[in-house]
Amino acid sequence: MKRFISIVAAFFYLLVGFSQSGYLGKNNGLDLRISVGPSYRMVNEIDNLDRSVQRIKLATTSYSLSYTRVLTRNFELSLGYQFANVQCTVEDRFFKESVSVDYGPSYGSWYNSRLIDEPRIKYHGGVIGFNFYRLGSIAPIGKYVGFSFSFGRSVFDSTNTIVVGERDNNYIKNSFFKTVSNINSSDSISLATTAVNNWNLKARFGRNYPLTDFLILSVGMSFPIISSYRSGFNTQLGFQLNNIYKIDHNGNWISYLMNSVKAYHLVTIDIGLKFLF
Amino acid sequence: MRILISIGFFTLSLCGFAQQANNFISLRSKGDIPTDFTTLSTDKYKTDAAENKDGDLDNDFFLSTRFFMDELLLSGTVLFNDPVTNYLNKVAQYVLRNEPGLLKELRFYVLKSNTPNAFSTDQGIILFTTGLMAQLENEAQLAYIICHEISHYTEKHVRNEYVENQNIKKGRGEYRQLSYNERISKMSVYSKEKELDADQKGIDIYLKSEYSVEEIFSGFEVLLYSYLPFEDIKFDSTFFNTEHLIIPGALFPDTVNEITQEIDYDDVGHTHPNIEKRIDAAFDYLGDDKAIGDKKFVISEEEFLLMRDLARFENINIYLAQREYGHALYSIYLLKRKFPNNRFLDLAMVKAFYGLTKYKNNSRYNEVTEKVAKVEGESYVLHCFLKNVSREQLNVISFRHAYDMMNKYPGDKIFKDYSDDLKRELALKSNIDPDDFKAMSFDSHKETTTETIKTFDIEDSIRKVEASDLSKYEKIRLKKELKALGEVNVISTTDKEFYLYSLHDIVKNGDFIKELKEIKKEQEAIEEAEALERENVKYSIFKTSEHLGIDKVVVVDPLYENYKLNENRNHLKSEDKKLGLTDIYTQDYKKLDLETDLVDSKNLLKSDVDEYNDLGLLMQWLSEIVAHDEIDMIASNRDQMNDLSNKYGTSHFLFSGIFAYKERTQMKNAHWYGIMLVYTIPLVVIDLLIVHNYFEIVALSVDASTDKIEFVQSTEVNLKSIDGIMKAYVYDVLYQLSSEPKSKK
Repeated sequence: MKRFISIVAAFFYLLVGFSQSGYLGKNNGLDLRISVGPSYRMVNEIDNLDRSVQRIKLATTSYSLSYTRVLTRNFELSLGYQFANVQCTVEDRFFKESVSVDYGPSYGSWYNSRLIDEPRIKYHGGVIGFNFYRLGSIAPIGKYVGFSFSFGRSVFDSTNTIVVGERDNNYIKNSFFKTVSNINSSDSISLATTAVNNWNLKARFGRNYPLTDFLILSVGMSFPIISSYRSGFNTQLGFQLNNIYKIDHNGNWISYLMNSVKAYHLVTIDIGLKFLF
Repeated sequence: MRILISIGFFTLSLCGFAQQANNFISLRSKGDIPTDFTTLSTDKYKTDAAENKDGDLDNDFFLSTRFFMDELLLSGTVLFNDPVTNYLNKVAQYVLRNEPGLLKELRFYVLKSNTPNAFSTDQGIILFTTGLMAQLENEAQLAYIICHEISHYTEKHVRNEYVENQNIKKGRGEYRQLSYNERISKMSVYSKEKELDADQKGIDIYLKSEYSVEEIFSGFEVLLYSYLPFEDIKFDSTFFNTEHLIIPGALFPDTVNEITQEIDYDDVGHTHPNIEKRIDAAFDYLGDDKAIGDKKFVISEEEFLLMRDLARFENINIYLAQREYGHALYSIYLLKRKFPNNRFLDLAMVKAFYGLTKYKNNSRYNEVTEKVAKVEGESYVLHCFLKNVSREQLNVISFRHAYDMMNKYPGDKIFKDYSDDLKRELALKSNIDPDDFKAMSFDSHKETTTETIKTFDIEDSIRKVEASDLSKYEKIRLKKELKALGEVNVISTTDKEFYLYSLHDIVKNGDFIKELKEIKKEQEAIEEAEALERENVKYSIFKTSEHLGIDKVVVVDPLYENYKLNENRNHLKSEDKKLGLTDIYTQDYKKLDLETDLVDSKNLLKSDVDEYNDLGLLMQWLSEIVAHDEIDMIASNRDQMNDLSNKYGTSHFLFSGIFAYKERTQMKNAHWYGIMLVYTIPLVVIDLLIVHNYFEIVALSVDASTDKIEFVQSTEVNLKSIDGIMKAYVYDVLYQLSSEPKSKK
């Protein structure tokens, strides 16, 4: 306990004891940031007319709200909360075996069935990061490089079910952005509760532009260095997506979820608005 | 009765002149500021460029000339409505009395500069330096130079030279076939031609006045020797002597370097033809014309003499600020002949010796003394003495003068400041052991020594040594020394030690020796404490900036300079951004506990003459402080700066500038590797083509109460200098000067 108190005290001292000029005397900031990651994947959904819609997803977006504090002339610390409403988008896939009883009732063999309505995942997490302002910049204005450590938990949205079935090969509409087809047969599976915990170490760089005396526009880019995704004893390190073409309920539901979450922790372009006070 | 009134007025005016010289501090502009100073350069450029109907003149001409001239006008060194400029204008008005139209177009000002020069611009501004005014012998000479400069204006020489130089540079017209070197030499030839033309046209104007033609030629001679002091009079080796300070004459050389300048000097590379050519040309031009005038003075001889004295006084200020202490001392010597009890000259002499002593004690003496081989004329004696004077001698001479002046002007704090600081130098850096100072005057010492030598029987002493029980070696040594004593002039060897006797009255009457020892002891204690403090400094990875604890600062004319990718100055943007920068400095930052005041060269109103004068003083002060660098010393205009500190309510002055420029990345090895990898060629090309924006912010705060630079910051920033960014950096500078942010109190 003593150790914990000393760490907290030291941290507090750092926050208060070494304050710098900041931007016009403002060292504290509230940073609302959208991280946009490039993507080129198809989202499988069912529209209002009960048709299968495959829509291309060109970007993933996650959001964060952070408190930032300028600690020294060139150094800024941030503590924040991250959120993402993740749409599972890991390629087109099909079942080769019957669904295990461990994860729900058996629906027989859908060897040719594909996922036609993919679930959503909620991601909640925290992030600790710091930026080092370089090339003459003074925190929190100008050019920076930095690192962030984020950690979070992803769970299937409990209201979602997964729908598997067969699409009609005669498309109603087929374009680069959207493919619509009728569903010949389908069945829905209620998803069991499962979760993935992950942490990421990311590097980032960018630039902050003052808009007014208390607003800063931040534009940057971040990319992962080390990532870890864990669910029970299943742990994956690294950030490369595995293409999963076959899903069975005996093991790779978790991989499916992990890989969907990973898409949100790849290279992202970060655009933020920081309110200084 | 009328005669009596005239005599009364004349006497009063003479008293007034004497008063001006006696109370002299510095030349200052007065009255309303002329519009030349208050109009923005951009407005001048736009107006003149829009009205230009001359096809040979491009916008660059108006840009460069308007902005260059304004830089000079707004430096605070150009005088208007002061006695010297007023006199200059009176002579100009007389010369142009029959040409009111032309007179209206012209504006005459005086520039504070020791370089003897005068020049005119295409805008009708004609500037004379104080250096030139100080050299003139009479009003007629001044009138002729005015006529010469007016001719430059009427004949459009500035415009013609610009057009001609453009043609030469670009090899247009008749210059097409010439080599580069030939073109350069053509520039010089053209420049000389227009000077001769101005001489002739100037004569035309001059002949319409009552001034004597002879003075045209004497004026040329003045110019020939204008590189020498304003008079060339034998330096009296007793000049520095006082009641108690006797500097032996042997320390001054008997010879001088001859003046080498000839009338037909080689003028290759000069902008002006040599004086012989100018005299010949003027003589030929005059021909048999008989001038009507024969006067040396038309306006007033008294006023001329006063004007010249004031210019000479001002030049001493400039010499001191430029650390040319030897020249200052020679000028003081010359002026003291006319003004033996002048406070300004007394103070200037203390300042000059003080400067020399400080540089000597800091082993930077060569920076402030002349190379004697290059000094010509009578001032050689003084420069030679200064070059050879020892550290010990100089410390004592300087202190002696400062001490005497402190007693002469008992209520005058500035003399006490110099005296106190020189006492510290004496105690700490003079290399003199305080116990060596004698309580006997140098004259008494010499008398005693002479008497001793006279009564000392060397032969008898040698005999006694030989008869003694000393060893063979000791006997030989002692005998040699005794023989040498008989051969050497003891007085001349002890002459060099005159300084030990020069403070005899002070040593005798007080606790002076004790005081010197005390100063040394205190300093040693301070140094020890500082060393201990340095050892105990704890370093932190979180480097924090220190607040200087200033409540109020005066921001002095913040600069903004913008340069294009081709390194040419972007004049218009520079001025525009500079105007914005002043707003940034004076903005009320809610979180900052620092009051700012601004002295700015732009946006001057016609009633802001005091601010204009302050600007000139501040810039002169800054350049001197920067030149002193690490030498901790009182600036030559400390007395004026004290007044300025009282006026603004603070002694802290901030000088700052932002220099924005663009650059492309230079080709490096990494680029070659990128090219070799083929796939990365687009990245290499992009990197090489991107233009990077940089700016450098330089800030320097000086405390006028100590004349010390208290804060320096220079930061190169790889960002575009938009207002928001600049504001961050300006705030950062102010923040570090301030006491603490309000929120932390």
